[in-house]
Amino acid sequence: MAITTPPTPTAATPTAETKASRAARPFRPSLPGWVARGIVWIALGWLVLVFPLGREAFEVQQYSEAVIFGIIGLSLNVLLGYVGQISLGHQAFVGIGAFTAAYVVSVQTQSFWLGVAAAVAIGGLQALVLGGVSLRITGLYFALVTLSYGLVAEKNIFQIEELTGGGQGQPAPKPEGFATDWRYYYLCLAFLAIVLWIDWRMMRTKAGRALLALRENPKVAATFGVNVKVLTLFAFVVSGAFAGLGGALLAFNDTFVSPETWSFNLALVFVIMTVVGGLRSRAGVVIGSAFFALLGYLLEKFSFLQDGINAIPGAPDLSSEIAPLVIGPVLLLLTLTLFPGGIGQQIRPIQGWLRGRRFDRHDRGPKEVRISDVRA
Amino acid sequence: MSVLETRGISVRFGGVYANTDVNIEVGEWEIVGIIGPNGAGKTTAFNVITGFYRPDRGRVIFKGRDVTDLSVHERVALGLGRTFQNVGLVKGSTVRENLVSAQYLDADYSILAGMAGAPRSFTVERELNRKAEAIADLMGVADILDEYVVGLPYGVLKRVEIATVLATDPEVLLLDEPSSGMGPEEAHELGDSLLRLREEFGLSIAMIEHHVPLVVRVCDYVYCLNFGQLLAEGLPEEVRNHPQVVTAYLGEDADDPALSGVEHQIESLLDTE
Repeated sequence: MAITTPPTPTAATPTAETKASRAARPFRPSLPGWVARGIVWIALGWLVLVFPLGREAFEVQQYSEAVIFGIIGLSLNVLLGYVGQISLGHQAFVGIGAFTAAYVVSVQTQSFWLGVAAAVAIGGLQALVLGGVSLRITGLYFALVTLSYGLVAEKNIFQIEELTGGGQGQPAPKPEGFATDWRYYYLCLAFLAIVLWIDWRMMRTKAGRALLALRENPKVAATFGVNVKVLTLFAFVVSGAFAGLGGALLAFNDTFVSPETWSFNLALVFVIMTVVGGLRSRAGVVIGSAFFALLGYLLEKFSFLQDGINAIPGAPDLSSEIAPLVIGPVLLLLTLTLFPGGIGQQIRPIQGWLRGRRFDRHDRGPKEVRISDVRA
Repeated sequence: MSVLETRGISVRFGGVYANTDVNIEVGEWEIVGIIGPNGAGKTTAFNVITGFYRPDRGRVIFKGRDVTDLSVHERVALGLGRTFQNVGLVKGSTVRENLVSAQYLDADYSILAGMAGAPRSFTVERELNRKAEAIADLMGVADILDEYVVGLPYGVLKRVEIATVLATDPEVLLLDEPSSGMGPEEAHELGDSLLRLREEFGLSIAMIEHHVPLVVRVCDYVYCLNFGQLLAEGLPEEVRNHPQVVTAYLGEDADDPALSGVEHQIESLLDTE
């Protein structure tokens, strides 16, 4: 009996069955599985929400900056990740947002909220203008336009004394009710949450899908009925508005804005942190951005790192200003050659696990994240 | 009455006359085939009809309306759907995402409402998803809904692409080589689905196609283009045996009466293409 039965069907049936039952009953973690996930969630929540409470004010200010960098990273992610255009003048977007907010609050003596709203609006407006340019030129040429825009802002717009308060900078006092660094930190977290929500919903609804289509192939997007020009401009406005928000929050975090802050170096850090974080991965971009914001702080905090680097003969002096510009390119190289999806790609298995799926070490997400994304 | 019509369209790229005075008509419920050798200007004509190219001369009339000056997405909104020769899909997305993306104009909420997470956007999204599943069922691609486009075989992609165009809710379907990359059996099945689509949705179809048995089986009328000009038009059998069409495909020597059994040769050649 066993001999006459052909081996293939018997071998095939169980796998077909398990496949079918697997499809019918999706994976549910066991109770210990849920407990483990819960512990990790709580730990993450503690790190973000509770841990800063016990730290010094100047440290919390650094954490706020990390959160704000997350917003800026998400802003650049809209351009780089969704539209596929590289901006080398993002520091100008953010800087103009910062000065606008400070100007509205200090010179015009309006409320904090109006200052933030103005920064968001101006941020969207300047991106609209640059978006118009990007409809005509793309890639490297567009990058050059944004680069020169950044320089124009640095040399001209940031020299307008009325706006920037001249050499000593424009004061930007923290808003009432959020005057301490701790309270302000939670305000920044709330804004980051809003930005994350908007980004998430955008990508899950028609605007986001249309953007993904037109980044890959504008012709295909057009045959889906998408007005390619309008949608590209719209994405630029979204990116600019996020950048303006980030700038405003940075201004109030430092309680003043100085023209010297907004140099080309900063634009490089913004691009690097977004790409290293992982284009089109919200969690990755936020983590990458926060990491770069905290890099100088971490080097100082863990002085053995600094000592270790200093022990290397001929090692560069890693002060907190230039640390991102030394470590950044190294990480960028590693990202582009080994993990094109950046941090987002590497944390994908963990993300899936935290959401109650199996831990799948090989989950790399869509294969499509390529170096050519950065169309330069 | 014709639902789609080109009136003497001419397109020139530098010194190349890609289309010269091309008149194509697609009647309601009609399946029209466009054949011709490579470089004959077939895809150029499609690009003019769908709005990717502006013709130097001539008009495009769709549903009795002159659409020559409308942009691509406006024509899509009127009910003009098309596929591409080299697969017009978002390759980094899944089949499902493509089918939902294609319903862009059906997504009945504003972009801002979607971004804010308005409750309406959630319900509409669920509807779009259901419709995507229904269309996938219809085109026989339901089992690969959640697979990424990038790894799928070419013949399957062609079917997914037709499903995607259907999702845009068209009245006229322009198919650019729908059976390329398919074997004879798959091509036959494709013919069945095209005939069924016409029955069920009252679609009119214009297709560029090299697979002659498919053209002969499903097309009501055939145009043959060569060097940007209409060479012949008529019923499939007529066009297929038209001496000039034969010449265009096989070259001048085919005119030579000394060659015996030319027709037989042609038939076998065209059939295997």
